[in-house]
Amino acid sequence: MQDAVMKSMLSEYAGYALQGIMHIIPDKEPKKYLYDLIADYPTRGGKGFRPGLCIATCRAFGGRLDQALNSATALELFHNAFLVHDDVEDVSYVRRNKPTMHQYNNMGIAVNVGDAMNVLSLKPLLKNKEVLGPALAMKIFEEIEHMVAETVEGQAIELGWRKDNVCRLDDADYMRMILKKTCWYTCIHPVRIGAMIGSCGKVAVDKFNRFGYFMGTAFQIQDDILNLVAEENKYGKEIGGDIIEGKRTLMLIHLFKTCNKKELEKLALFLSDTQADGNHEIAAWIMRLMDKYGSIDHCRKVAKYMAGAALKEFCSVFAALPDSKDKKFIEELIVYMINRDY
Amino acid sequence: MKDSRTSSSNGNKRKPSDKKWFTGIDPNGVMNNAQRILNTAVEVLEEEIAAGILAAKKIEKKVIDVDEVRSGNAEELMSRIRRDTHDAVDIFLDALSVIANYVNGLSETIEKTKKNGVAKEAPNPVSGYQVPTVKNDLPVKAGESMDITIELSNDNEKPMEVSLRKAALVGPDENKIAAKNIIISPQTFTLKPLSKQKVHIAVKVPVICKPGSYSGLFIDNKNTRICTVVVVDVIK
Repeated sequence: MQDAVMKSMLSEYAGYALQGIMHIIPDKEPKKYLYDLIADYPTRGGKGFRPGLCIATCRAFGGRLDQALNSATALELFHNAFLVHDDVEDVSYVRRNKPTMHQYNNMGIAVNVGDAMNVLSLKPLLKNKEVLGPALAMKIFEEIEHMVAETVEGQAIELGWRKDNVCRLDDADYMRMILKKTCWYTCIHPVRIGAMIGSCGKVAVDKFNRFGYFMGTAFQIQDDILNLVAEENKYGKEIGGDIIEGKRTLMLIHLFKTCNKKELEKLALFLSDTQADGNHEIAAWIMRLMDKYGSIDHCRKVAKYMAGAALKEFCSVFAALPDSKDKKFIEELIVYMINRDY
Repeated sequence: MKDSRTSSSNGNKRKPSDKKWFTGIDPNGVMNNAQRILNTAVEVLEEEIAAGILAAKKIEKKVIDVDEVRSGNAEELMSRIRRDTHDAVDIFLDALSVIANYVNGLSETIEKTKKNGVAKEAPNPVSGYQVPTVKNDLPVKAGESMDITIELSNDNEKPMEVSLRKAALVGPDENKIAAKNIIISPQTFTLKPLSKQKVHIAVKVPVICKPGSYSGLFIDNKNTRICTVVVVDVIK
């Protein structure tokens, strides 16, 4: 499958979810500081991974697009709500090549819009009752409840590390945080929900956990790498932003463990107040340090290991399904996630 | 896409058509590194799923209507709890079973001996065989260490490769005794036909460990039937 074909398919899936989102935004006041802003992030052009995985898995299991549409819409809207809140929590300036919502409005409005997006995400889940029946709709609701709980717990872990300026972390700490913060909602639950719908609730979906976990970890590590090395206009966020925000990425954790004592002390001092004046120079120094100690190369390898493990899991859990465009898409998406430049 | 891959008609056999994907990886070190990292990842997933099940069980306990149970309308409620508990065991065993290649044709038993520990059998409602539980005889204080000894026997006439995977012990309020505080000796060995092997499990309880009962499932990497639940009671 060509890059262009993959992008086109992702764009198609994202388009379905965007239509669903636009359909549920209330046409009423207050518009200026609430309902008009809800469509902002979704219309900036998301990658479409989550609705893509949900719809493709559903269809790979024999389901139809219309059956997965509500769940795909909810996943994408929850994702965008997380982004609005994440940007506030991380004090980010740019999202998908535009100013973050709290930058061009204010924090209060951004938080409130994020809240509204979370609430609106429940609507399509309630509509699932009409399309899928009450039993399956309730099962999907439970999936989403777990997904949101894991995501906020993961975010809490990372925010806590930053607040306490934790500099002694290992790979397992990172993987646990990423499992909770990213993997459940980016890969595991979209696949689980898609399989539930496509199989009319007959498939035991726990078997997809490892597949989604490996895939999600590869995705997140690649995202962290891109934050350091990507072209800003393609990536859509400020390059090196994670360092400025003090995010505990796998690269930073590798650096903690490999740099010398003096460098570690300087690093810890910087991380204790990443918003201080002059810290852009120190952030550049950290990037050079990561290069010196091979932190980025190390993480590229880990991302490849994870993608390899995800491919192996794919062969195991999707093998019995007949070949289809959607099944092929899921398989190709694994490698695409770690080769992407945006 | 930079790496196109081929698939057979049943989608089961694939090989990379483009080696570019692996550029930059030292072939001598890759397997060890990859194995170590993936093992870490799998352990994290297992621990989190186990913690999630325990948390769900705690919530289930909280929502039991004691008055309803006492009023005699308990049957429906108890049926629900039984079903949920079975579901939880299903989830747990499924998560564990996918990490191992099931080895058929071996019928092994796991026996426990008492050293500082005492063995208890607990029925497994899902798989039809019993997952044994080993527990420390006397509670251990936070900051102290304790040992439990189990004995594995191979009743077959073929040698059996055993590689035990340790797990963090999960206790009250999701407090844990990390896997790094546990030493299994020997952890990997070959059990000759019709022979037995004692395995020592040493647990160092962290000073900050809260009192309560901590448990975790120790399982063979290849054969999920070789497993035991280790329970450690911690006191102040």
